[in-house]
Formats: sequence, C-alpha cells, structure tokens
Amino acid sequence: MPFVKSLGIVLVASAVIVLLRAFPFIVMSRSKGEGRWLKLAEKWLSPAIIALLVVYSYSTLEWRSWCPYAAGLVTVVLQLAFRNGLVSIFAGTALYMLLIA
Amino acid sequence: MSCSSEPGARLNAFKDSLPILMGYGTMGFAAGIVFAATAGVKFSAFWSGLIAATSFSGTLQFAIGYWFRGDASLAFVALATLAISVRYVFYGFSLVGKWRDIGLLRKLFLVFGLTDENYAIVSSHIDAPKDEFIRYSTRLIALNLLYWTCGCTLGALCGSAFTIPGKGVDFVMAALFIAILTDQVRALCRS
Repeated sequence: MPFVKSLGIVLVASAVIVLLRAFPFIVMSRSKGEGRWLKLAEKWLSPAIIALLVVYSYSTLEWRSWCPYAAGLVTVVLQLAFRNGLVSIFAGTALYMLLIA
Repeated sequence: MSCSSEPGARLNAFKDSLPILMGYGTMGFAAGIVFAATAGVKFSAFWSGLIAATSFSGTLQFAIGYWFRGDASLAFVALATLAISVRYVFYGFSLVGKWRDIGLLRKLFLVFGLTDENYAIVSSHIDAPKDEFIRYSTRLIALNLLYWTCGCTLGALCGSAFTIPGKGVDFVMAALFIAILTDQVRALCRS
C-alpha cells in the first residue's frame, strides 16, 4: 500500500475520533455552562458512563469465572476503607493476577 | 489517586497516572505487537506510534492494522471509526463548563485526549478549582499519551519476539473504573 494511502487512513480515523470527542464542546459552544442540563450532566453523566466502562472492561476479562468479581469486590472494599486509589487499584489487580494464574 | 476532590488537597497528575502507566504500557505494547503482525507494512513501529499519537484509542490501534492489510477505502475507514467510537459523543458534556474559556490549542489537546480512562479520572475531579483542574487535566493527558504512544511503538518494534508478562494485568483498567465509581457513588450518597 502506498505511503500516502496509509497516511490517509491514519488521518481520517484521527479526524473522525477527534470530532466525536469534540461533539459536546461544539454543540454547547454558545452555552455558558450554567444550564440545568449541564449541571445534571456534571453530576450524573460521569458515574453512568464509568459504570458502563466497568461492565465493558469485564467483558474482556475472564468474566465467566468468579475471579474478576472477587478482585473487584476487594477493590471496592479497599477504596472505601483507605480512599487511596493507588492501593486499591494495584491490590485488586495483583489479586486478580494471582487468582487466574 | 484520591478519586474525589478533598478541599485543599492538591491534584497530583503524576501519581494519578501510575495505574495508567501500567495499563497503557502493557495494553499499548500488546496493541503494537498485534498491529505489526496484522498490518503487514514496513516500518510498523513508525505507523504504530503515529496511530497511537493521532488517535489515542485502543480499538482503533487494532482496527487500523486490519484496514492497512485490507487496503480499506477512506470512506469505509470514516464510517467504521464512527461506528466503533460513537460512545465518545457523550463524554464531553460533563466537562463543557469546566473547560470553557481556554486557549484553542490546549482545548484541542484536552478534547483529543478524552479516552475512557482519561475521562474517568479527569471527571472525578470536576469539583476542583478551575485553573488547577485545567492544569491537572493537561498534565494527566500528556503523561498518559506518552505512555500509550511509547507502548504502541515499542510493541511494534519488538514484535512477537516478546510475550506480555503478567497474564491478567488488564484488570488494572477495570480496577481504575471501579475505584473511581466507588468514590463517585459515595459522594452522590452524601449530597
């Protein structure tokens, strides 16, 4: 495949994904960021999206076994107890690696 | 990472980027290996790094390898990218207010950097003071982009000569989302 064609594929993919990520900023560019909908989005949208990301990230793990759920539960408990993300994330990951090893 | 904003606590982008160093480092390396194996192009490390630095997306890193191999048409690339990345159209709505009135180049960089992981981390600090929030977002996204691009380049460079050490290390991304969600749910319960 010629260099220019490869470069074209890379740039088109990049342009589309950047436009998608920019979409809210483009359509809301006139708003002052104080609207009711934006306040609701600040509060609820992020937890909703992150909850979906948890589900999605499990789909790439060994989700039919109990291992990721045990590791996930430990991550939650550690996070509630110590409020230290580094501790809960690395401990949960280490436990998962041990469980499936 | 302190996943919620304590009043007075300084945000530390480097500390918060450490789980991503682990996640993007290994996932990028794996994506680079797969890219080099499927794309079938010369200088695959160059292309893998360029794709990483211009798309910042795990799915696209894999997909573009196939499009290189199949000599996909540009129209197909545009439509397929749209289809596999459409979820991103929602992410920015919770950041529009906080990322207002900043320079065009920096804003473009921040928007470009809204991956799943960056979005999750950044949006969990939405209550921080605006200037600090913007500085923090920029640093965090720059660090994570560096990890991802280096991972993808090195993976393609090493090719299948290496296997990824540490089966199950991909749980680090699930754990990141879980830890952030835990703090957000706690904050919502208190408000």
